[in-house]
This record gives sequence, structure tokens and C-alpha cells, in this order.
Amino acid sequence: MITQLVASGLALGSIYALLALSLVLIHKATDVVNFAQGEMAMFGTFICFALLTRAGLPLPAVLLLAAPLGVALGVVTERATMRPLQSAPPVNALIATIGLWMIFHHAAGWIWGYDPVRFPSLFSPEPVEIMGARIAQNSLGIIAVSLLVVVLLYLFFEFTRMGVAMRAASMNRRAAQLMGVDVTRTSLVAWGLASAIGVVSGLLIAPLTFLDFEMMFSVLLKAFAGAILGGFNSLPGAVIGCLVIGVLENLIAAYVSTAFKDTFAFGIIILVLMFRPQGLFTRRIAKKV
Amino acid sequence: MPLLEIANLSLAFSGLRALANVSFDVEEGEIVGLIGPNGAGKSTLLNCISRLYQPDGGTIRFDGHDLGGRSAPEVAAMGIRRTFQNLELFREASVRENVALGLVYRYGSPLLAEFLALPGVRAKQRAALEDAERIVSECGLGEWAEARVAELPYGLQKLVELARALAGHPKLLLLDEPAAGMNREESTQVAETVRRLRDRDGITVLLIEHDMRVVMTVCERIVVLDHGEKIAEGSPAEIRRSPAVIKAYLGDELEDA
Repeated sequence: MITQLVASGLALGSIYALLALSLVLIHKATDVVNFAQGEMAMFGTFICFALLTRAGLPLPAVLLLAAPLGVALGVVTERATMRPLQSAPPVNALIATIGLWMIFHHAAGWIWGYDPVRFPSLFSPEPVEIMGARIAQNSLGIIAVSLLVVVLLYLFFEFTRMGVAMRAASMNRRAAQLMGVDVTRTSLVAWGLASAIGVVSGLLIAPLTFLDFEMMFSVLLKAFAGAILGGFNSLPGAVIGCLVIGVLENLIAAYVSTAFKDTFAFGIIILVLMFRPQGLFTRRIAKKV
Repeated sequence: MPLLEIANLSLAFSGLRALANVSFDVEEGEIVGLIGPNGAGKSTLLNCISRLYQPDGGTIRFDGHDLGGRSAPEVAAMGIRRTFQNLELFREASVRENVALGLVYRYGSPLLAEFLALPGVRAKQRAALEDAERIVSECGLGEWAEARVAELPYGLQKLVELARALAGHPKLLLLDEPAAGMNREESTQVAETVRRLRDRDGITVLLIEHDMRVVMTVCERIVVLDHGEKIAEGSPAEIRRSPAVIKAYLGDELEDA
């Protein structure tokens, strides 16, 4: 029982982690918290669904298209809304992202309707036996996909010029510029990457919850809680924070009450901000980097 | 052809004159000092060269190319590196990482190629890291390579910034008060480092400095600014004798230099 709860908690946490990675990516690169991240993920997932049902593309093709589609969504959004605010104070951009939240939210309802629809499952429903416990393939698949994203991100930041440039720009934008880093490009890349990762998280959660224009709200909330737990400035911290949230959420729902399933995320945000605003892991990770 | 040509450069901040018709050249392989009282426009001039400020009038040419209309990263990519009066470091990163990040634009190759050819990329990165290691030890920072920059004393932080600028293998190095806040021994070391960079690596240097001992020993030519105008230019000996300079600000400081 507990093994299953932990496994499905880790799967949930992985989905939160993907969205949290998007949030932290953009925040590190541009100092902006993108409140529209969840809605952009939902919007991208709806586009995938439209490709699947209306355009009649096969599921594997849609899955392959998801990441490039997410990049396009992020790049267009950045160009249209963030670039004009480049020299304005970051709080203006932050308010613009709240506007984007509303726009994507209602645009999705207007285009695709307000009723939840069933999204095809990406993994076989047959559970597999691991260490005596029956674990849903869905959980394993979600964890595997998230792990792949994390590994790709790690390779990107560690080994590519753009990745290194983004790390430099996130630490000191002016110094990075004077070493040849074009910060308008790093901002664009951050939005593209974040949006692609967001769409992947949307595709992973849609089969679990139905595809719905409100489906990302609670995911965004948990992603925020996890990212704050990890210090909001550390990618590994955000992943660990979200895994903790996912597992806790499942355990609380099973052993305390399902009523606390969503509210406890708020509790964690408040507690962390009160007692450890730098996050639980920031210090250790900062030393390692 | 001079490496850097500054012609009739002017800039005003909301009516307040910061630079007025400043012209001078820096030859390749030269060490030129930029001096003048506080508020003379020295840092403003460096900021115009590295494109943090857009001048109102005049031209800056580097290596024969007009810098007007180019962005800060483009100018950096042309081979201009700089340090700041008030340090702009990656404070949370280690000394080694600061220097390695200075190498960022020598990694080369487009994104996709880097993903497809990871072993090659790693070899290139290893080479870059070895280069960083060499620069760290040459600047006498070997002992502190792992230390977080924010935890180092000011003098060492200045040195880290210099090391990071060198990692970009610049043709032209702009130094904004490299010896500020240093004791006599440390500033002598900075002067020697600047000399060595030019003699061995052929790096051209334009430096702002208030420590007259450093300026007079290391610079071959000195440009003096006062209230945004160039009031004198010449060898250290000529500057010492120039009545305009003495009147403007040097005065007794020159006596003990």
C-alpha cells in the first residue's frame, strides 16, 4: 500500500516538477515569475488534442510535435508580450503574465469549450510488479519522461554554449552581456524551453484528470509550493521540492483526509516563506555548483 | 591604423554634460591611462566603448569597424573585455567558475550540433576548463580556485574580475580602477600583471586609475579628462609637466609620484 502511494506520489510530483522547472527557468533567466505557465501548458495540451482529434494525426506524431509546439508557443508569447517590456521594471512583466493567464484561460474555454474531455492514456493500464507492489505503468511512464527532461536540461546547462550563457546571465546579466551573451536571446530560449516543458507536463496530467481549461490550476499551485520549497532559484531544488509535495499529498490524502489534498500546498508555501525563505536546499546546492 | 579611434565623442545626461568632443587613439599593443578628477567622465567613456551607453555624438572605431549601432554582446564578441569600478562578478559561483564563464563564447558550434556530438563538446569544454585553470593560476588565484567569490576580500575579487576578462582572450582590455582599494604591494603586482599581459600576449590596455604611482609606471601614454573634456594627452613625463593638468587636478599628488 505505502509503496504504491509513494510511487504514484512520485509520479504526481514529477508532473509538478516539470511545471516548477518551467517557472524557475524563466525566473532565473529574466527575474520574472510567469504566472501564466500553467495556462500555457493547458493551451498547448489543447492544441495537441486538436491535432489528435480534429486533424486526425496519430498519437505518436502528436507527442513528437508537442515539444516543438511548446517552444513555438513560448517564443511567440515572449516576443509579443515580454520583449516590449524589456526595459520596464520586472513587476510590469509580472503583471503582464497575470494578464496572459486570463487570456490563455478564457481563450481555451472559448475555442475548445468549457466541458472536460477525455484525453487518451499514454501508457498501458496494466500494472507491473516491483518489489512485491503493483505499480501503475502510468506512474512509471510519467517518472521516466520527467527524468528524461531533467537529464536533457542538465546536459543543456552543463555542455552547451547557450546553456552556459544562460547560467551566466542568470547570475549577473550585465557581466554576462559584456562577455558576449545576448540576453534578449537567453530570455527567448528560456521562454521556449519552459513552455515546451510545460506542454509535456500538460500531456502527462491530461489523461489522469481529463483535459479541461481549469486542469492546470492546482498543478501550478503545487509547482509553486515545490519550487518555493527548493528556494525558487535552483532547478534541482525545485525537482526535489515537487517530489516531496507529490508524495506528501498522496500520504495526507490516504492517512489524514482528502480534504487537505490541495490546501496543504498553501500551508507549505506559507511555512517555508515564514521560516526558511531561501528554501530547504538552496545553501547546499549553491555550494555544489 | 590605431586599434581604437575615438573621435568627437559627446554625451549628456538630461542636459548635464558628461563627455564633450573627446578624441584620442589607442595604438595596438599600447598601454594608455585615462585620468582625471572624479566626475571627469572616465567611466562614462568606458561605458560608451562597451556599449552600455549610447553616445549623443561622435564615433568609436575598433579594429577599423564603427561600433555605433552594435550591442554590448556584439562588441564583446569583437574582442573587447572590461572590468568594473564596482565589480560585476558572479558572486555565488566559485573563482574557477567565474573564469570558466568568461570563456563561454569560445565553446563555439550551434545548439543542435552540441547535442548531437556530446563527446566532441565535452573535449572542447575540457580544453576550455584547462584554459580557465591556467588563467586562474597565472593570476595568482590558484589557492582560492574553489572559494565562493562573495567570500573573498575586495582585492582578490578585483583580481578575479581581471582573470575573467582575460579568459575572453581580449584584443582590448578596459580596466576601471584595477588597483583601487589595494595596498602598495598588491597594486605593484597589478601594474606588473598589466605589463606582462601586453609584453607576452600583446593585449592593448586602456585603464582608469587614481593611483598615480601605478599610472606613471605602467602607462606609455596618458589622456587627461576634466569635466568631460580632454585637457591633455602625452607621455607620463609630459603629463607631469603640463600646466593644464597640474592646474586641473594633479598638483601635489605628482610631487610624491
